Amino acid sequence: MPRYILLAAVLAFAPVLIVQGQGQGKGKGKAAEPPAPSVPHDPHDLNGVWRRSGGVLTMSNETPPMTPWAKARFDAAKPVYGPRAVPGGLGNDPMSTCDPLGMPRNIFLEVSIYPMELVQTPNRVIQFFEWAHSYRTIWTDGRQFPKDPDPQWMGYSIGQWDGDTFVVKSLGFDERTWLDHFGNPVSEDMTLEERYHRVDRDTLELNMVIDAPKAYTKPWVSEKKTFRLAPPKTEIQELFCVPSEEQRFNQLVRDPGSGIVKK
Amino acid sequence: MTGSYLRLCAFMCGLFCLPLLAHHGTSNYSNTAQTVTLSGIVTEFVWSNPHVYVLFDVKDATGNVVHWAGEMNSPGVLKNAGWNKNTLKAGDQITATLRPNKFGTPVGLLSRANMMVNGKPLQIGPEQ
Repeated sequence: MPRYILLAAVLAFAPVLIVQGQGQGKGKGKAAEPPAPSVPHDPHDLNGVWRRSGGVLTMSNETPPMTPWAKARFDAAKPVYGPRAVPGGLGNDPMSTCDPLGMPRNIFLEVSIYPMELVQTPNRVIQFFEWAHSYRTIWTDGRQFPKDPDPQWMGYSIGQWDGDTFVVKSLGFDERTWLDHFGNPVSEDMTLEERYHRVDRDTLELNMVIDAPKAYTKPWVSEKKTFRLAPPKTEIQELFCVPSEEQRFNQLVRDPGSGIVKK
Repeated sequence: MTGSYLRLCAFMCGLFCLPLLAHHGTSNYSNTAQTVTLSGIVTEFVWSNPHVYVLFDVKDATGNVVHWAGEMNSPGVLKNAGWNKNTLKAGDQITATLRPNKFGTPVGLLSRANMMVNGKPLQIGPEQ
């Protein structure tokens, strides 16, 4: 590279373009979280707004071997996250058109930005997700799973206590969902087990296992997900994914930012 | 002129941008260490879900106006950082740092840090 070309380029940009070594990004610059206070808590009380505190954006980094059916779906997926990421306007992530994330992907979304709220009632637990302003119902009234359930984005969920651990079992998932941001597939035969344990007042731990023989040749055990209790007055924001607004965003920002320029 | 400017911008970015895995759906953009600082006039501040964005006009080195778009986070995240729909308005003079995209088009991921609005620092909350 001739040096004069570099010099000319730098001089040409100088008035408006200042290349900096300054970082920018969500999740940066956060102060270390204080240790949990030693205050009494009821481990069977899960109410509150909870934020994830780090971790991978999928079950774990150890993806089980896929079946040929799952591999074909994985190969067809064009995520905008992770090592296979394509430019946003060229991906086919259902999230980009405001399709529901479903489970367990809602759990993985972002880190510490979009929180969830748990609300316990006598016969159910409502799990409310800020992203897309969506919720799921976890039934705790002793009911059984429906026979041959119709597929649902969130699945059908039943919860019960195992000591101090709230165990949620879900089935009846919709194969149109992605399991995570990286395009790993969901199959209709998937069952999801979530084990929530409030280990102290401010800390909620979650371990998950999915079993989906149509997609994965063995169960996928998650890493431990940890949530921190948000301050009592924290409000879940109205974060709908609005298709019409997303469409305009795609036209003005995402597509041109992906090199797609429509005349 | 604008096209050649942007191609040159992409060329320069190609020289200096290091590859980095995207993890917030920002695969369009350069890595976090590669930023540009731009000054311009806001034409529209779009407070929409799930993305807020700023449209603003920037004059390039030869005086041509380039229409830039700066992507931001959701209204909820911005609200928690102290922003609202009136934080910016059409006609505001802004100076902001962005992560440019990899294709040389005038679209970037806009940082809330070190923003100047009408000559004054915008100090209403931390970067998130």
